[in-house]
Amino acid sequence: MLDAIRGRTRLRPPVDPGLAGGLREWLEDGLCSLPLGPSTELVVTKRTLSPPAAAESTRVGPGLALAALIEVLFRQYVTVGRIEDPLADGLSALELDKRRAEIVRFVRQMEGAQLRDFRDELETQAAILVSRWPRLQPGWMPRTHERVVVPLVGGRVVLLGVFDLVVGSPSSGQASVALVQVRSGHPRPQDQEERCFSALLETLRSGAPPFRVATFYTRTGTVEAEDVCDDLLASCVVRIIDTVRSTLREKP
Amino acid sequence: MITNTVSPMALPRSRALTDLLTDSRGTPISERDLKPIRHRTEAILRGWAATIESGRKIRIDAYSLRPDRGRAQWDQAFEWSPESARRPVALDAVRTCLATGGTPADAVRSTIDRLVRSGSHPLAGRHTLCRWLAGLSLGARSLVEAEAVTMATQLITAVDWTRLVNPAVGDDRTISFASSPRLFLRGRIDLRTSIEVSTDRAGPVRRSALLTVVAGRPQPTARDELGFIALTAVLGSRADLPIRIIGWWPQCGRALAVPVTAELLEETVDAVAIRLGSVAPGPTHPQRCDGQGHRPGLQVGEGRLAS
Repeated sequence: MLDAIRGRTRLRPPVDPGLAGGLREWLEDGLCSLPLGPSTELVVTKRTLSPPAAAESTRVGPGLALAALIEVLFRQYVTVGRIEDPLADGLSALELDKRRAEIVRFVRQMEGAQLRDFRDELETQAAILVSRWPRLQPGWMPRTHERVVVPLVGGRVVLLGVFDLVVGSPSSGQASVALVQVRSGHPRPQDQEERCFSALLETLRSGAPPFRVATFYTRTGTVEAEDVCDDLLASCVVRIIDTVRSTLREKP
Repeated sequence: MITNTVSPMALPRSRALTDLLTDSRGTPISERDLKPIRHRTEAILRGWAATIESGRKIRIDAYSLRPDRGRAQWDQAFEWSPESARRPVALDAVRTCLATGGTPADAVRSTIDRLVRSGSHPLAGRHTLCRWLAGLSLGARSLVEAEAVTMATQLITAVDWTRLVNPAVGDDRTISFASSPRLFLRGRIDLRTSIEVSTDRAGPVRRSALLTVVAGRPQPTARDELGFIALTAVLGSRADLPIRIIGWWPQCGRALAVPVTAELLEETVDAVAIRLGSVAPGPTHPQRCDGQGHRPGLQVGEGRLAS
């Protein structure tokens, strides 16, 4: 797991000091050329860039409930190093967040075979998580659920994201941070796009790109990871401008 | 060159933010400038306090100046949550990190353990953070811990602490006037540091610079919000008056430094008057007055946890 996050080389690339500013200007220029009204506030998230497939509906169901529970269990494991009862631990964390009330209700109303299957799947994925992740050294500054917001064009377009895990101190001139996203579902082609989006958000926010972005799948215990390069960030800039253009076209 | 923002190209960011904090230039505000501001603030609050139902207490903070915050939100009863608990825990952990050289994760763990032990004591207050934490199960408590680790890590890596003089972490101010005792102005100061400011007339003077950590991105009211926090700082203390306040938005990597001047404070009092006038009836727009004001009450360092 750590090798996947670190990458093949321990050498961290130096940060081009003009990179973040250049990407931001490119985005600003591209977005300014679009017909954004004065009262427009368009929020771009990873979901906007790669809408979920029909099977992955945003309606509360077992998939969404599992994802929410895995998300808090991952935070718990990274932070305190243990998970006692995945369902009880996860639900008690979700219950603290009123925005997750619908998910908590959904899980609480399950019974019989549905509950048994759900609990089995959650416990399996939690066990995979625990078996694959070592304790992260506190000195690596691991922090979870870091929210990022990048306003562009005077706030008319806002890029929003959440990093499930960030490792590494802020950059002092070299790329020094790795980002990890956690998924409870199967690997999808759009996961790579989401990793690019995370890398771009971090670059715009901190002025330095991360050196590595990864997705960890609790269903299989596998990791997909890649080094962050200029081309990867540039492709994401183009994708964002294209997505905003299509969204504006679709809007009445 | 030092500006009032942090360049997107500045690396490390902590150096740029520390440059903003420790800049020794500026025109210090004097106690004489503050007198009319204090009187006017008191007059405005006195007028508005008359609209508060008896028995209620209302706390106004910088967020209250945002137009999307109605009075209903001001009146909401406080309750502990991972979001409301993360700041006091994180600030305590940052103090521990500075004292021991430990990591944010270890310091947060130590803070939480201490609070849970205190909360398990039969004499612990019912609505205190420690009692709330002690009542949480492992999953819920680890969520609070995770939130606090994230915030503590952001703050500890935000500035170059070795360049700060007498840094005080979590130095909130709560102001109330005797004429409106049920109304509180609360300024959240995450970091205060002492700086020596050069002046032409009387040589260098000792002042402070304030840092407040704000969630999300800067809003159109950002200057008023920072001015509000500065207002609570100057009303609450005659010594160590702030020379500037810096808002830092870690979620978008932006910082804004605003010099604390009489003009800023006057504009802030105007903004408070307009905001109060928009959420409640009552004489909230009095003319500037020079009447005898009361010395505001002061509670210092409320960002600190009970030990």
